[in-house]
Formats: sequence, structure tokens, C-alpha cells
Amino acid sequence: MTAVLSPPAVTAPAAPSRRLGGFSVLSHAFLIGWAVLTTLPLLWAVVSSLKSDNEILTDPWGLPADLRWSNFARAWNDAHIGRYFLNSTIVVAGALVLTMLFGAMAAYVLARYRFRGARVVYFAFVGGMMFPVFLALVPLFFVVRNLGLLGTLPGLILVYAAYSLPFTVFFLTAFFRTLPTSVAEAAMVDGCGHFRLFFQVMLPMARPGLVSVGIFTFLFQWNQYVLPIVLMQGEGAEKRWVLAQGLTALAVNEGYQGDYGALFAGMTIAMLPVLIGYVIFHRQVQSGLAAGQMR
Amino acid sequence: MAIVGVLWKEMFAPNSGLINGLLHAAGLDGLARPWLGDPRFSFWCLAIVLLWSNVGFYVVLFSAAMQSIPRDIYEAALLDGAGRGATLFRVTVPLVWDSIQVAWVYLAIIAIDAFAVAQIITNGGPGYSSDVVGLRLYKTAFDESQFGYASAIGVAMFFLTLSVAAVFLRVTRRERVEL
Repeated sequence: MTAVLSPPAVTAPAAPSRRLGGFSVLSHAFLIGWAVLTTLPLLWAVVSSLKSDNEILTDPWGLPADLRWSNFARAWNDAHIGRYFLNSTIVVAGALVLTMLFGAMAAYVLARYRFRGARVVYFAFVGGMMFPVFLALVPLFFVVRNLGLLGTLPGLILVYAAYSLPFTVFFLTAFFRTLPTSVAEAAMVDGCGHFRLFFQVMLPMARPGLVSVGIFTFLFQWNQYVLPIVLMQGEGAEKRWVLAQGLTALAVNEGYQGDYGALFAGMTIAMLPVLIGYVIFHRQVQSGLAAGQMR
Repeated sequence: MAIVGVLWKEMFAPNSGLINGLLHAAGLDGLARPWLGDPRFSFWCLAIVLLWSNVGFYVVLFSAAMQSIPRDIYEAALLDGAGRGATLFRVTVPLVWDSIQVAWVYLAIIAIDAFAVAQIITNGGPGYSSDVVGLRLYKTAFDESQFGYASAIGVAMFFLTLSVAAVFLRVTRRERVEL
């Protein structure tokens, strides 16, 4: 979980009296201290990404003498962070689209239609949530290899989508059940087919649920580490590495090549999308968490 | 998670790391050491990184749960003469107990695998001092090519996680407070 945050107003609900006692000072000092501890390493990475190698190695607390934006160019081109970034984007975008499309369709049918075996299918999906990634890691490797998809982007997309589907189906089934049936009935009376009913009526109504489950799926897939390093092996696979994997390889290699500036610049580039996404979506993340509690 | 690992690996670096830099700056040169190279500390360094990277999530989780507590309950507690401590332990904690349970279980699962952080920062070393189950599974399968053994580790890990979760839920079970 890279979405690191300075603590929001934790004290607000539990502060019936506003007098500034010793306890209050202490707890505020603790909160501020923790906020500093959380942000400091991130700031350090950003500041270090603008330093020269010599400054990084000899003076960890110093500020850069002049801002070296060239670190970013080296990270993006020479260290291939740009390529890894593109790969990550392709994989996560593809897997997210697949997950949301199939997840929403399966969840809708399971929530709204009665047919033989519906409960079995539902529990098969929900049972998938119980599987940790590690349990199936070795068999998964062989399945993907036998399909000839080892070290390819489509293979990774399919695996990501498969791992994200159970939660998506579970969450969205519950969501579709809460939507009023009268709208769907009205649409049917007006001569709407099953496909149009789903895509033009039900999906737009399910938008809040889709957004929150989409954010969680995105975070899960973007932060995924063990799946890519297991599945992106073999010849020529390093061209198709994703960001997390590429950055780690960079951290190992830079130790020998000594280009620390590029390493920190790469780290900063990798941190940005999650931070920006969190700043934009933090309300949905919080309300999604609150909703997740109710289930 | 991988970014966190890379970042903290640099934080703990012997000469260029922020932590030893702080110790030198504070004049505590004797305390500075190669944190990740010392079997006595490498494991605790990983624990600190896991702590650091998970606190933010739980702050959001708990504050979301606490915000859903109606305010009049606090007013009632205040009128009945409850102090801060009593309010916390008699009102807030019971009302967010469900979240606390979920958090325990979820945290146990994270701690049992802890793969990304362990693999990136120390790779289990030095020796086996900071090895974790997930990392052992990965190495057994993909470094030593003992795939059957690795699958067995995976199944054992699954049941370990399951029983830890079951025991936690059982031990922390309390009467549900209805709002």
C-alpha cells in the first residue's frame, strides 16, 4: 500500500471538550510527529532525485546545490523507466477494463436473474476471494507457461483480471441488489431488451459502486509485485517488465553502476500516479472503506 | 509496495541512508551501523517498514468507521460524566470493534506473506535472519526449482493464515453493539 497519507482529523469525533489539557498537547505532538515520519521519506526521495550522485552518497540530509532535472531524463530513457511505465499502464488498463466489464456483467446476472446453479456460481466466485495469491503461485506459473503466455503482456492482463474478479463480483452483486427493481421493470415495459437494459439503464445506475470497486482494483493491480516477477520471466521478458519490477531491478543494478540520481528519479516517477490518484479520489476511497465495513 | 521497499532500502543504506545520516548529524556515531547487514537488526528493519507503510491505511479505515458513529452518543456520554478515557474505551472502541477485528485479520495476512518488502530490502538475509514464508516459497520454486515442495509450502501457508484468522476472530469475539 503506497497510498501514504498524513493522518486526517482523527481527534475530531472524540473531542467533546475543547480545552487544551496536557493530554491534548501530547496527542497532537504525537500526531504531528507521525505525520512528519510518514512524509519525510517520500520528501527525501523527491529531494534526492534532484541531487548529483556525489551529494547523495556523502550528504543524505543536504539540499541539492543545483537542481538536476537530467536525472529524470536518464531514468526515463537510459534506465527504461518510461518503457516500464508504459507497460504498467497497458497491463493495468487492459486488466481493469476486463475486470470491470466481466465483473459487472456476472454480478448483474447473479443479482437479478434466477436460474439453476446461480448460487453455486456465486459461491465459486466468492470462494476465489479466499485464495491468497501465494497458494496458487506455482500451478499458475505452469498454466501460464503451457498457454505460451509467459513473459507476455496479455498473459499478465488475464492473470490480473482473474485475481480481481472475485472481489469485483462480490461487491457489485451486493450493489446491484440494492438498486430499485422498478426502474428495470419500467424499461422492460418500454420495450428494452436485456442487453440495452444492462448497458443503458443498470450500468449508469451502478456508477458509484463501479467507481469505488474500480479504485480498489486499480490499486491492487498497480501495486502488484509478486505476480509480475513470477510471470515475466524468460527470454526478452525484461522489455515487458512492469514498473514495480523494473524499479526493483534498477535498485539492484544501480548499486553496481552507481547512478543513484536516476534511481531516485525513477522512484519519484513511480510514486506520482498513486499519490495523484489518491489526492483526486480520497473521498471515494474513504466512503468505499466505510461501505466495505457494512457488509 | 515495491516502491516502499526500494525507498526503505535506500533509507537504511550504511553511508548514504537517511537514518545513519540522522545519527551522524545528532552526534550518535556509535549507534550508526549497517542496519540491513546485521542479522540482529535486519528482521526488525522489515517490521518497521511494514509498520510505516500500513499505518496510513488503518488511519483511513478507523477514521471512516469513527465518523459513522452518531455524535449524540458522545454528547450523552459527556452528560453522564464520562471522561476522555471512558469515552474512548466504553464508547468508541466497542462501536468500531468490527473494524478492529477486520483490521487484525487483514494485518495478520499481510504480515504472513510480507513478500515484496522482504524480497526487495534484504532478500531474507543476512543468512536466514529476515526470511518470511512467502519469500521461502518463491525461492524454493523459482531459484531451486523444487516446485512440488513450494506448492506444499503454499498450502501450509494457506492453512496457517486461515487458522490465524479463525483464532483471531474467535478470541476477539464480543457481543455486537447495535446502533
